[in-house]
Amino acid sequence: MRSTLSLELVEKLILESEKPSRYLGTEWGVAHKKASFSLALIYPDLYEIGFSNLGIIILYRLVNSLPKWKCERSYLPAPDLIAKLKSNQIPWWSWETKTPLKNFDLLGFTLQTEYNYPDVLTILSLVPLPLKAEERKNGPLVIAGGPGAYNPEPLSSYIDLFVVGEGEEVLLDILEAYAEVKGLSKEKILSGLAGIEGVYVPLLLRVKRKAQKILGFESVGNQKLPVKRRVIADLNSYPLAHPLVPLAQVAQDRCSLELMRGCARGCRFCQAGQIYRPLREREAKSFLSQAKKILNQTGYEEISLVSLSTSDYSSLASLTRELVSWTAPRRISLSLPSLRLDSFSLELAELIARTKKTGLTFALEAGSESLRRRINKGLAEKDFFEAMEKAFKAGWQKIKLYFMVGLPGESEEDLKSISRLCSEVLNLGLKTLPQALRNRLQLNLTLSVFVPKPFTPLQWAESITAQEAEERIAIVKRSLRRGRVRVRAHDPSMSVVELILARGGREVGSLLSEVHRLGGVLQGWQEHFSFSLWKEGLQKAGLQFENYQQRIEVSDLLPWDFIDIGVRKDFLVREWQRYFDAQPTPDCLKICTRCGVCDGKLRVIRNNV
Amino acid sequence: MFRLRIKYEKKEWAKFVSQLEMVKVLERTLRRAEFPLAFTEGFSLRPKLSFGPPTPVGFESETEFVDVILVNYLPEVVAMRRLENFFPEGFKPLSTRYVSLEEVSLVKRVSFSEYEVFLPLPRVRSSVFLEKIKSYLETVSEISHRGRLIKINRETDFPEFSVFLSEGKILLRLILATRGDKTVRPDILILPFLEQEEIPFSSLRFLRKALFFWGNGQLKKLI
Repeated sequence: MRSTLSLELVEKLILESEKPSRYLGTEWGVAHKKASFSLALIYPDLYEIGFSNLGIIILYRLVNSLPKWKCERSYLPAPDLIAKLKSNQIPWWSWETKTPLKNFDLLGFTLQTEYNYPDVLTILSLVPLPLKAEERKNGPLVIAGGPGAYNPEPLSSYIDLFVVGEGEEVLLDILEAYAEVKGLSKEKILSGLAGIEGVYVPLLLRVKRKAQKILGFESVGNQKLPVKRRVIADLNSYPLAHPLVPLAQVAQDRCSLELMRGCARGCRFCQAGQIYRPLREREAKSFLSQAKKILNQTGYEEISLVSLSTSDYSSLASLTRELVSWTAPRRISLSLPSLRLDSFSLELAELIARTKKTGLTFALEAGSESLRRRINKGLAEKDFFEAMEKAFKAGWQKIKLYFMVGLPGESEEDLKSISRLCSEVLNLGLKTLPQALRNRLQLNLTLSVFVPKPFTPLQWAESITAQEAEERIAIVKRSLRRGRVRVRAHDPSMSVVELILARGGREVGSLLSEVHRLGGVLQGWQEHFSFSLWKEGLQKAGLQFENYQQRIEVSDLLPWDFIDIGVRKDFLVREWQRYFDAQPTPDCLKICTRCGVCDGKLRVIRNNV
Repeated sequence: MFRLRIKYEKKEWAKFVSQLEMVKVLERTLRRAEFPLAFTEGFSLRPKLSFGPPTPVGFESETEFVDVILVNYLPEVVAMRRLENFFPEGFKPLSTRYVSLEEVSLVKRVSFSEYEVFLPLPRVRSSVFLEKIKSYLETVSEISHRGRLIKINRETDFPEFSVFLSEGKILLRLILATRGDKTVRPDILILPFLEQEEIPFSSLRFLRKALFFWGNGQLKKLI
């Protein structure tokens, strides 16, 4: 195996690959830097998916601002290139300088979805490094963060160190410490880093078990317990991360800027709503001036204000008005993802429409009002149709609605409500849209399968089988009015895999290694996903799906219970109970729900301009 | 309205950027460079750009063209300087000049491309190899490519070629049709020869050197 790579060889491999432009690393805005220490940030999926990830961009800019450190990026090669790298024993490289990843000090994976887990192993094998952390005595330290690190156990055999929480501060702590101890044995380095708040070193945690049951967690060294999530108190302390501009076509090809972090709503199925608490808004004036500068410097023709619930931003109307007055003459369009219908205003719809009328997307999640109350997405139908009417009157013709099937206690009536809502939206559109636009009316319906996620009030919930999910999707489809509705349903067997990886413990590591051994890559892609491969993996690993699908008692210890995200467990239990009682919990901007996150240092930050 | 013709080169990693991808790359470059762009009307607002004939992915080029419609006059030298500052790595502006708004589009105007193809030194004696490749190019009249038969008319599709040794490589110069009704790609043209001689395709380097159009009965170089 080579330790350096000739650019000629890399060029040849890229030329022979399916889509060469995804491997370039000469995007506008990349950092070319020489420094004593190096970190490669890795998104374990194809470039076109990983490129726009905001977390990667934020940390890339941050690390490259440090004099001693340089940061480069890497992604998963496509299967055609994977085959070539393997057969020719060529080490996988970084984007900017095509340096073999094994020459970096640190490799940092971001875990955005469970489907990417097998490809963490794919990349480790391409570096190449031994997959198991305990077998890696030399070479780069392998670290991982992102939402997947909130239940790190499925990957714990393969990762040296997890970062739990938001990366801005804790990563700098890790880099600073590493720079001082580089050269010591891996054990000593890990032991030192384990003392940093927010760091979890799996080799230093013993999980006490009796058969399937977890009895407790024990530190076997310097590992601090519980592992406390790291959070930055105020987003305004950090400038907006300057995005890169791709040369290839990527999935989210726009200037994405983070307007706020966290969400005050508390939808009971939503992991992001819990793990990013509390809500912290950026100050509008500074956001605007930075956004204008970034748009000028990148040349993007579309800007997207990123947050979990954009319409909750305290001065969204005035911010949008001011932004549009600057972007519209420059022919820059604005997109506001994650809008909520209940606070959606006609003014906002019209403001955005001044530049480009892209589709409107709304996540209703459940078809019936009662089920929406249970998941704490208490959107009344009356408000929903009022907002839809405004949208149609403003000329929106493409509506996308998201729903879940498989929520605990879901009835056939709940499922049929999805179809009924769709019909009524169509009727309203045909009645309300300006005459000339009626023919263009289109409703896109996306159905996904509910998967209970760690640190949510529904983390204890039972999950339906793939077959049950198929049946429920069929009920919705059957009762739908034909024409004008395009239905896209998530593959239920993929949700089964998502469930096991989301809610599994350390034992799931052996499933991942089996799936890797069987050749599982890109398992989040419908065209590459293979359920039979996972079934074979489960069998070989001696695991049963049923163990992950069942409802969990709240008294049971969960694999992630050694992590403290700030949200108290009794709050989650209370919310779980309120699910069954169909009791709404108000958003915490109205009244403090005593979730436990705000502690004086951490608090909700609203833009007061 | 003004129509500015930009000639630029596309080398190194930039050679992997396809023509389709180039539309956005160029739009964003022009936006960064604050060109006074004219936009199309309607649902999707796009700057008015019209590209010359595309260069295949993986080919370097010293002769890429795009016409940009501007709402205000921008001195050519200023346009040049801004492009130098704002083109991504691997792209370099070569010239900027205003042309008539009425002028026929670049794609319609161009008739031929000149390519240079660099081949590795052969295992056989160079002179033998040169004779072989000459003989192939002189006689090639049709190529089968991906199940399609491409007829080659020497006069109209492939009027000129030369091949010689240059700096330790075989350099092949080709003039090939680049028209709406017929385009001959150099890689496709020589592929049967490469297969016959067992030369790996990835060991070749392609460079588009110039574009030509018919003017007053003569082939003229587009500048």
